[in-house]
Amino acid sequence: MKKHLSVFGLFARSSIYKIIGVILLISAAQAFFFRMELDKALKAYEAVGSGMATLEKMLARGAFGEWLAAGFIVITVFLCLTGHQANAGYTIQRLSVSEKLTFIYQGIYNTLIYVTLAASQIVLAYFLCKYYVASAPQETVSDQTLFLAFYRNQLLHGLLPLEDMALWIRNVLLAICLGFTAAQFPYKFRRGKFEATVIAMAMYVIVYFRSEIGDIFRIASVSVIALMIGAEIVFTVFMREDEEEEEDGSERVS
Amino acid sequence: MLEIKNVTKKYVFKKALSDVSVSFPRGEIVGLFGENGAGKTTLMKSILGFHSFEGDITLDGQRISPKNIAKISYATSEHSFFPNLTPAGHREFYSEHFEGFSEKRFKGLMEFFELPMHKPLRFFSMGQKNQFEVILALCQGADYILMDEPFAGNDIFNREDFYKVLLGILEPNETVILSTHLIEEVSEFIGRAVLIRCGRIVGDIGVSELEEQGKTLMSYIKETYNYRADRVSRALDEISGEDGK
Repeated sequence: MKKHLSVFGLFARSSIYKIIGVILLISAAQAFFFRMELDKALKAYEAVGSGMATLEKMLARGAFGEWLAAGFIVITVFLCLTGHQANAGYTIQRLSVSEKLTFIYQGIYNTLIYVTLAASQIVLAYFLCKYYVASAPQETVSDQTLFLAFYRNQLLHGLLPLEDMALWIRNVLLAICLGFTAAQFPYKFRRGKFEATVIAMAMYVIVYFRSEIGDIFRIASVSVIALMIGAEIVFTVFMREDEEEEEDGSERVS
Repeated sequence: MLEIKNVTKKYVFKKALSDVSVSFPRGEIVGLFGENGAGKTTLMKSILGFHSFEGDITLDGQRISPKNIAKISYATSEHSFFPNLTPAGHREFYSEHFEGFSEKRFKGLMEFFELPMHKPLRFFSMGQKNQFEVILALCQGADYILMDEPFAGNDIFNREDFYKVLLGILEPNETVILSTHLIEEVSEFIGRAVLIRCGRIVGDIGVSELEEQGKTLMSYIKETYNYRADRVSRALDEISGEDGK
């Protein structure tokens, strides 16, 4: 068991500090710009006496989603570069744990990273919302402000779908699919192949992550596509890979 | 015993190894020599199972598989370590995966080469990276240590230190197969020379046998390769000749 954990630890140690750094950096930027926009809105409200900008507007003006997207891209790049060197494969292929199992561990690790990113963003969004409720004039907020923000704002609803079970399932599928596409990149790169699925998948998530309540068609289509990509990865890594190596006599996976 | 029998490796446009048969008993330091592209690296990678090939490679009678691969270690100038990990991280990782990993040897060699234990490998100089690559290969607890141009980028003093350390620490059951172009440097401490050319073994001789014949390793290699000493002077004459057209 320790051997298996050490492989998991290998991927973690190679990237965890950089990833934590990115998460902290984007969180700081999001908090900073949110605070800046909130201050501006409060000043404007004090001057005019009405028209306090809503919580959703504050998040949009503070580029909450854009910072998240940027952090997501950087983290994906870091994950793809973990163990991508062909020469690292010389050691990975000689371990007592098979290389395909190391691929699974890397996929699980990546998935956990994406879950951590989402969790950190939920926590941050929650505290920013609480801060807004505490700072905004009392006549412009209610007990429901925070709750409504997570329902009305597509990004916040995508992050924390509350009772929207279909969206929870979609998020889990996306995290797994992203984790394994990011693990597939170094696995293929060590064999001299450039795997672009992770780029397509990352762009797809950036475009389709925001979600309205009850948009079942969109949720279902995104989930199905994630499932299809996941199946394609399993097929490529666990079945087609061996066939190709047999055919072209290229590098062998032990 | 590491036995290579009738091994042929074909790339799409080239035969890299052609019916290679050679065996390496335990306790030898073997120099593997050949020009660039002769097949040295391909032979090593075939032994390690990184390449598919025709023929048989066995270690103590067993085909090489994940079950016995730990008996062979590999140091390469391409580097097989993880650049983001520190030496301490590697020590921990290797001791999990290779039962025979020698912490004592690792510590001793790290101290000897004065390498930092807690600095990620990517920040090491090329010479330090080479040293660390070799340290990992020597500490894995393998019976066969394959080294492919491990000192490319190291200075002469560094290399001499390494040769001395290698001779001092090797156990009687450990075999080193060293691929290098530094023929004269290693001729002092290898026990056997295997010559490879165009994917074929063209020479295999013990150093003591050479001594009996009154030959040096370099003269043997030149003789085997039909190296013509006047080749350069004739070429220069042709290039710079007075009537040169």
